[in-house]
Amino acid sequence: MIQIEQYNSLFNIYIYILLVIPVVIISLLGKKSKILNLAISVVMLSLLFRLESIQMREVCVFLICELLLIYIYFLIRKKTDSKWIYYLILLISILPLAIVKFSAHGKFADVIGFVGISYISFKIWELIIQIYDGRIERMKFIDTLGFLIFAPPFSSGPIMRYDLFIEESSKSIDRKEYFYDYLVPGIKKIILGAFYKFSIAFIINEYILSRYTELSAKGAIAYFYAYTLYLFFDFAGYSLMAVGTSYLMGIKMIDNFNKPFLARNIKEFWERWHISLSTWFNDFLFSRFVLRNMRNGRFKDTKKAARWGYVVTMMTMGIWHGLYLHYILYGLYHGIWLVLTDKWLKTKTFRKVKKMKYYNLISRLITFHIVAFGMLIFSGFLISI
Amino acid sequence: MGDNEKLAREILEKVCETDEIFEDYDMDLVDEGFIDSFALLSVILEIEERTGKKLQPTDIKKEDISSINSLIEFLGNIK
Repeated sequence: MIQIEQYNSLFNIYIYILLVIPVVIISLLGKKSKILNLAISVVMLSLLFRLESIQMREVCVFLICELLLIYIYFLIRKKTDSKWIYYLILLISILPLAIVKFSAHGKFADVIGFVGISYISFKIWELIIQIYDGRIERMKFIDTLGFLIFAPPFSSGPIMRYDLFIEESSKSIDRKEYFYDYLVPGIKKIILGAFYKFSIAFIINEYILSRYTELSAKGAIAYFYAYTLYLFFDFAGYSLMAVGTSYLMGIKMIDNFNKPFLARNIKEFWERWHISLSTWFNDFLFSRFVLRNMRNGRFKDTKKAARWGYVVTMMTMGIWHGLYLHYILYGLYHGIWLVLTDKWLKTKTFRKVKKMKYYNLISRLITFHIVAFGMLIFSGFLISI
Repeated sequence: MGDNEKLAREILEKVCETDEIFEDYDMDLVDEGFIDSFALLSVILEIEERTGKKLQPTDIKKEDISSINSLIEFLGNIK
């Protein structure tokens, strides 16, 4: 698969800002247009994939098939709530992503799949699950398509949620509200994101990561700290620019990071890191896994169900990143830490320790190191030794 | 005491494992540390057991159980 990033140069951001100017103008006049937003998304995606590329054709075929699947299921669900049909539809919707992940190991890796397929899949699954739950009563084509191809977070997230998208794209905003709650914060986010990605992450990569490619004790330690910080500033910067661009288009999104290195334990870390991914997994996998197993009596105890839930969820998250051993180990590593954290938070020792003077500082340092070691697994650096 | 009030009291007493919460119906149970992220799942299971109504995690938000009054309101809306 050819990797193209949406916000990988200041030039790209410049083009995006030019593209959203029509929305900014009509929003400042107090108007809103779903069609205009859709058109801008189409242009952005055409620039991302280039019109004549094989990826562009794959995106179109993929979208047509998935939209058909979603609408067919929407009609079926009105007649029956059969679990087996639901599972079958989910399975079919997962197939394209599974094929892409498998083919990453084969000789067609460059032609199969397109950047963003992992992220658009979350939206499709969310729709199917919510249709099954009976939470979606009406589906407007322009909303569904607009939701799926909404361009600012297309390639690498954050994950947009259907409820929020519909709410945001349908509500009218007056010019004052647009100016203060969308335009100004949007621009701020883009500038901060660009600073994170093009200054801090760039410097870490240029002066530390690329210098310590050989194995030495000093190199390993520098890599250990620098890689984690690099990942944060690169990805958080990217997310901020995506969220900021989305704000300019009159659509609020949740922030993807909330000072993750201030987390005092791994549970808190996942409430602060890649928030759109962790809340998605919480709502659609973890919580449902726990409830299902409690309902059918497989687990008598919520704690036990939750602990298994952590491991299953984090392993799935690892596999979603790609079918590589280091991603699966990364998922397992975090799953185990979540279980240990859960046990630790319920101990008497914890309640005592929590009141101590340096608790915040020390627990943050320890959490940072656990996270950084996880990133080292994630990077594949350890496996390659 | 209304049905929903009774139900909300019973559910939250069981989930929070204390009756201290009855002192103030608007007390923020999240801020006071009575409720964590699991509480939501326990509340879903309790509602199901007592009313037979099956909820999904996306049907209920943390704010819906953050105080006795907010749960009373939520229960009123699902019936």
